[in-house]
Amino acid sequence: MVELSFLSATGNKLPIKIGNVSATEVNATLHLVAPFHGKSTQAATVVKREMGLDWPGVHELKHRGKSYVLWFDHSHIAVMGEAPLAKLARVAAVTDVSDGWCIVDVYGSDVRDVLARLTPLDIREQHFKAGMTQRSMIMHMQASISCLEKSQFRLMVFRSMARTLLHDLTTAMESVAARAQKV
Amino acid sequence: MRIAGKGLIDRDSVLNFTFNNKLYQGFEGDTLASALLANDQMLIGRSFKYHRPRGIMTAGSEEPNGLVTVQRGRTQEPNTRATVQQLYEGLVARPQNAWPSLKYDFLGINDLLSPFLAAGFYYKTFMWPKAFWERVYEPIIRRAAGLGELAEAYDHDLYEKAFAHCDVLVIGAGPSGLMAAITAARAGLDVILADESNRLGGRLLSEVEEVDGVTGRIWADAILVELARLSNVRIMTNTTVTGAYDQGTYGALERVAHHMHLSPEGLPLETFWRIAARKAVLCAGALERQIAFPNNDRPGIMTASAMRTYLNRYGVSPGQKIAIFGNNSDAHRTARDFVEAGVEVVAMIDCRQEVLAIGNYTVYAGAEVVGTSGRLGLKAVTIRHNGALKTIECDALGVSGGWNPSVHLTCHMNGRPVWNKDIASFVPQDGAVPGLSVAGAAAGEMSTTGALAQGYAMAQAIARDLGKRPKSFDLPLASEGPYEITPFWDVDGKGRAWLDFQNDVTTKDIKQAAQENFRSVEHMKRYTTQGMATDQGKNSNVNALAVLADATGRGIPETGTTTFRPPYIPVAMAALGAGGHAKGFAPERFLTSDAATQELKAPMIEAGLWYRPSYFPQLGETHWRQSCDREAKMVRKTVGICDVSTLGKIDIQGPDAAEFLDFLYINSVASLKVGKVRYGLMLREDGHVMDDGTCARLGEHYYLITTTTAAAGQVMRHMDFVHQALRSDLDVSFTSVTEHWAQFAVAGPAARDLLNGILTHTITDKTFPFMGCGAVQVGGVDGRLFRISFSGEHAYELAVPAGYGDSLFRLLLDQAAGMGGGPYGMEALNVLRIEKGFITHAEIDGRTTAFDIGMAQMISDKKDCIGKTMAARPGLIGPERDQLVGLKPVDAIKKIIPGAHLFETGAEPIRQNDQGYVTSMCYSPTIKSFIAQAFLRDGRNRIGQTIKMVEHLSGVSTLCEVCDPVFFDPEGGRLRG
Amino acid sequence: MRIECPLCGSRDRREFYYAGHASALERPDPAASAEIWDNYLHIRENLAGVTNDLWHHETGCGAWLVVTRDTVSHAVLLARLAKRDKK
Ligand SMILES: [Zn+2]
Repeated sequence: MVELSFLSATGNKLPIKIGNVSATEVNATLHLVAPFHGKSTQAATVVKREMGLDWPGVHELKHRGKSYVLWFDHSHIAVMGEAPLAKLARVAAVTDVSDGWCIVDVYGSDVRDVLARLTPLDIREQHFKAGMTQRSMIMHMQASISCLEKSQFRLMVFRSMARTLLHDLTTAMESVAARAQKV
Repeated sequence: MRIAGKGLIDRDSVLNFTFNNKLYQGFEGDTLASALLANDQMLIGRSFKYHRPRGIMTAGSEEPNGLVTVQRGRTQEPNTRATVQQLYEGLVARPQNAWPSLKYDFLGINDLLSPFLAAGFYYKTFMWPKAFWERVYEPIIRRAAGLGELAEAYDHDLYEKAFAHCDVLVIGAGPSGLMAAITAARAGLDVILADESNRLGGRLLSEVEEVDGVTGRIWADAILVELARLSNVRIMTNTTVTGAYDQGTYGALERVAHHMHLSPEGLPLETFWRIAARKAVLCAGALERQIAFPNNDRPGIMTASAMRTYLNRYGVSPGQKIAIFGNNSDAHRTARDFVEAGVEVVAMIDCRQEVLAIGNYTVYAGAEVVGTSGRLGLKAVTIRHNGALKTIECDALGVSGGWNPSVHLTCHMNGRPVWNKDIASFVPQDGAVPGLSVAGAAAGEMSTTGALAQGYAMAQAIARDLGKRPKSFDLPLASEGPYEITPFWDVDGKGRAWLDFQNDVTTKDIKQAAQENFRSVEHMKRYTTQGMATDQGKNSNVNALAVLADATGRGIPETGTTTFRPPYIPVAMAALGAGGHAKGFAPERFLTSDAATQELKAPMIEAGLWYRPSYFPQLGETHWRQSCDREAKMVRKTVGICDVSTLGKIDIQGPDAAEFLDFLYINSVASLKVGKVRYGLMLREDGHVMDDGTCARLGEHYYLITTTTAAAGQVMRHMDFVHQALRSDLDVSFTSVTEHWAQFAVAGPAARDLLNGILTHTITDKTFPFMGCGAVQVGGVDGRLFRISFSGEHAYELAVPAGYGDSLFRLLLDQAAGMGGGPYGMEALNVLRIEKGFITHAEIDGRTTAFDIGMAQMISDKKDCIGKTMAARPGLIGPERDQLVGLKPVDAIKKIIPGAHLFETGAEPIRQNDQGYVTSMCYSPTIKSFIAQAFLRDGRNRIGQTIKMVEHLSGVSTLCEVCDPVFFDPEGGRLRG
Repeated sequence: MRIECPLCGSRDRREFYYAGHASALERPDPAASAEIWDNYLHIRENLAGVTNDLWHHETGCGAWLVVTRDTVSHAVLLARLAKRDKK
């Protein structure tokens, strides 16, 4: 009997902390959901009834416990963690992409300064609040960036680019930490 | 020399530094320039062309003369302006453009040759003979050219890019900038205030006048305290806004660590900011210009306002006997301040007739400076006054030709400044940059009171524009006289009068340009190089075009002005390209099998952003071909494992999925049965092949298609376009799952045996026939199995979620090893596919059609699809097309070279006789020959003929037999085995 | 340069992929004349002034946009979803 073992996208290279910003890897199931034509209401009803969450509008992220629903792109939302996949599949295209993304939470008081070095997004507090999610770039990479708390963000890039994400992230974290030390 | 009691320096904090190998001392708060002047070091460098001795001329980023090389740790930075370089303990700087020494410079001989080196010299002299260009002229020019020298070593400094966003960007923190920032901030707007200096206040730091009843700098400090307390204000010091771009985007260079001897690990030297601002206010002030008089370039001659800055901000007098030469009221402030500071002011030379002194100094009204003396530093000036010449001893001369508003940023989007005769200078054109307003001296408002009022008014207007209701408040008043100026540009006299100090352009050069009919300001600029040095003519352009206007008998407004382009100050390429260096250049994509592959010491090859193994060397193999041949034979004999996860995979679902795919592919997909896979070809709308791949039907309304590695992104974008822009009526959605699945080819006669050793449920030819697909389980993990082959062997591709990829790859290698198999890399993969006549993007390179690759018959006549109409157009089909064939060398010479062209055996190998070209080549250990794929004119009708391959670069010519592109197992029996 | 994506708001140009004139939305009938197809595929106005382009918000929401902008002033006047452009 053969057995396969699981390896996270970063290969267990996290957590790290530089200055006052930390990064940890998140391993969670992730499915993209796109309702079929005319089935948006039914899909929303499933999410509401089974997860207790409203269907996320553009740039919205909602969660209950460790289950998240978030806007993902012009046609998809994403569900993270426990979700009524079979029921959703009756009214929507549901695609498992759990292993396709490297998911990293970054947090700490200078986290927005770190992000300012990685993404062209407007990451000012009043413009990127907790409960918001946006698609943009982290350096050259397509990314999903969500604000979970005022000083906690969830970054997602393609799994194969995990090493580049760690490189870019540590460079920015080191720079921000060095500024704090500078006289 | 230092002046007691003056300046904003910290005299308790002594800083040691080295210039020209000599040790000096300065204070915290000094710039390198102020510290050198405090040490009476007037000579800083040599000029670019004539190697004239030069000293400090300004106190800001516009400095043309005071360029030094700063050695900082391992790196040296040339062309550092001493006027913006903050002093730090241990600073080491060297002069430039001087050899063997600053005092005795060899190329100073150029100065004596100046009659021959005037404008246009290079254009006229180095024209002929042509043969001299490379051997003689270029080496000479190269040796003499360039400002400063590069270290020619790896640059260890870090540069960084960053993004910022705000409601209002205030550019410059002088009186108008501070006022604009505080007004906007009080109105509740999100403000970024950027200033070049390490300290806010702008000219207020250099003047003694009062604002709101206190010295200007004290008022500035109070505003700064309030700004620093507000959370909606971000203050960026040492930051120069370098460019204005579309939709409120601004570039800004922050000098982060230039003032540090040793900086913390990870701290960048510079950060290049991209600031997105809804509105901006340009409060960049004005720059004082020179007057061109004979020998006006000696060390000790500087702008009158710079003199005040050195005195009032740095507590330094550039000399013991000061003279001032000006054409405006502002110059008198310098005379007044030096007198009050106890420095001897020997003369205030004012070319205006009616002048009143504002202090206790001697005024020569209606006078002008006609000459100077002192080889390495100013010793005396000669003035013409009341028709007589008079020589006045002095060691420093402050010059003021008036102020030029810093309009630069308003020109960055094609705005043309307009002439304002009241201040005899150019002011910004209204609305030159959308969203950018201009206040203070930058707008031509030369009084401090007026500047404060404009900063306030602009910010109030912006606040209202952005939906705020700003409260009004009382404006502070400033104490100062009015600015009065009489335009005066150059003095007639004996000797050269400099305009552009950095590029050594004199009034004579401009007049010569006019004489030679380079009358347009743009032509004059290029002919003389006026304004083309690193300072971009900040304090000389206006003078130069005034001289041109005079020489061509036109007024200044009619002469016009050259425009300013970004960047406002020199920006290091490293700063502009920050983040793109080394690993930041592009993302690196790694396979889940990467760790195991590296352990096997496989050399990696880049495929797009991916890193894939070329081959897996075994003990004793010394050449890649040995490994490649072994791997190819291994797959044909037993079984090989190859990571194929880089292929694009797109998950497609929805009731209209089949119809959508039918519109994308030339062949029919709707007819594909669930559990089956089909090869598919996509065209561009212009009829050429876009990509190929497989299409698997996983369910009634559920497909999975693959793309080539190279075209994955392009195909995804194409599908998005076709769906959203052309067929949004179709109920289908799709997403990339490339990264979710780790997928491995298991290829070779023993493939099924290997799989049955690891799959939970045994597979047979019945459950997984050729081109079958379905769900499988391996090691408790749900996977997918596709019986497809890119090698021509009995083969499968096994996919599991990527988290299990590393584990599965190792398991497959273990299994293969026990069967005489193993991993194979890109080289062997390429051999296997060429043997089978399978194509890659070497063949479908964007210029080939379905007809060319022999797949025209796949285009379904039952439906429309992208590219169908054009694929049938004349010129894309027929015997005139180059068609895919195989090639095999038939003579003594066996070399086939991809990219080489094909010719009839008897034809001369020239373009007119071209018959096609080679796309791919390999040595086939199975065929035991070099084989190739090629496109040959009407190739399918020429199988069996002999053709000549010629490669002109290496001079290789090979006779080849034209073959069917499928060299191995043309019936495909092995696939089905 | 910034484009106001109808879904994502004002975004930096680097998130977008440019794809030429919006006339690409008007795909001719498969049976249309060679001249019509030639015009559709290859013939473009190169005008100084207001133009409609296709931009893909590739690293953003993935939507294809029709962007109205002025090639002289560089003003971006309007961006709307290409999807809505369909009759
Ligand atoms: Zn968008």
